Amino acid sequence: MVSNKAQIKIQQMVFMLLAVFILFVLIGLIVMSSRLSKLKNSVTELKEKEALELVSKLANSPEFSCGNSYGNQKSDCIDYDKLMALKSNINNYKDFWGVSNIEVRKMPNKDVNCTFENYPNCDAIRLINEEMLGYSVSNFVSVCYKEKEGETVSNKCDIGKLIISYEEAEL
Amino acid sequence: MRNKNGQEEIVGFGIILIVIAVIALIFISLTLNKTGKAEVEDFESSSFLKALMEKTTSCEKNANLVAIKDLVFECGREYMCSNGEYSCDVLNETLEQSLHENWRVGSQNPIKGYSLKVNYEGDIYFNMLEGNITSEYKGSMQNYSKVNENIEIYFKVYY
Repeated sequence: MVSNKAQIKIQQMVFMLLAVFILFVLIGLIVMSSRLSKLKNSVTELKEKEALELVSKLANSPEFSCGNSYGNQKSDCIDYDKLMALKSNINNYKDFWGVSNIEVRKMPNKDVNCTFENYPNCDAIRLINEEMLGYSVSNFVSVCYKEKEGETVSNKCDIGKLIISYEEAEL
Repeated sequence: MRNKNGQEEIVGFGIILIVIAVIALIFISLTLNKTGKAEVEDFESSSFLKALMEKTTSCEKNANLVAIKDLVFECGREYMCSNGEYSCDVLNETLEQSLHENWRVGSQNPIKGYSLKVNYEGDIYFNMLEGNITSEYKGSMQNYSKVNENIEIYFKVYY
């Protein structure tokens, strides 16, 4: 009778190696998917950080800031009238800030979007397009504008929110 | 006696598989456990307070609407607005309304409460509290000075 012990041992070893190989492949897949997801989160977090810094910079940039138009120099103040003028020229600025959209809202917000027909009886100006897509970050700002009552023009400032939306990183 | 080597090997292999599976599960649960956005960011309370101080009120002085930060000084001097309103009444009403409109508090909301304290020359002029005080909060402070006058405003959001 021919001894099959060696063949059985070889078979056992092959099965064992196969099982260990499959196990390591599974572990490798789990590790790679978690690393890929972390990488995507890092890029998204970086975009969010950039958007937050942009919120601070925008409120003080010449295109948005009040400057000396409302009495003394104000920081984190957005000129609402200037913003409407910027909206009419937004095609020149579409890719300037690297975000998908910028919105400035007066608070409390009744969700009335500003157009050239209804301004100033509105409370939200969306600059780049009409949709706020993707993620958004926001910060409180002063929103100032000139208001005419009869013959007098007065400076009015309200609490507002500057909201920047950006899209999730694609990998 | 029957040879049980094969069975022993299989049991050993099974134990190794179980240990690795447990480690993999712990690893997956740790990677999936993400930190969400904070209820109130550091910059939000500070920027809100700055914007609040610049908000104009219905009180008029020299044909201009007076901002809250200036109205605190006027209230300290017990000034009557040009339209006949008492500056402290306008200030109180505007502060309450602005806080109520911008910060929704409640046990079901992430914000549990807020407080605003206004000091004029070291005396507490206004002390507003809405909701509940908790051990976790974000706060900010603004101070303004004019000749011989100083105001401090403290704002805290509890979550």
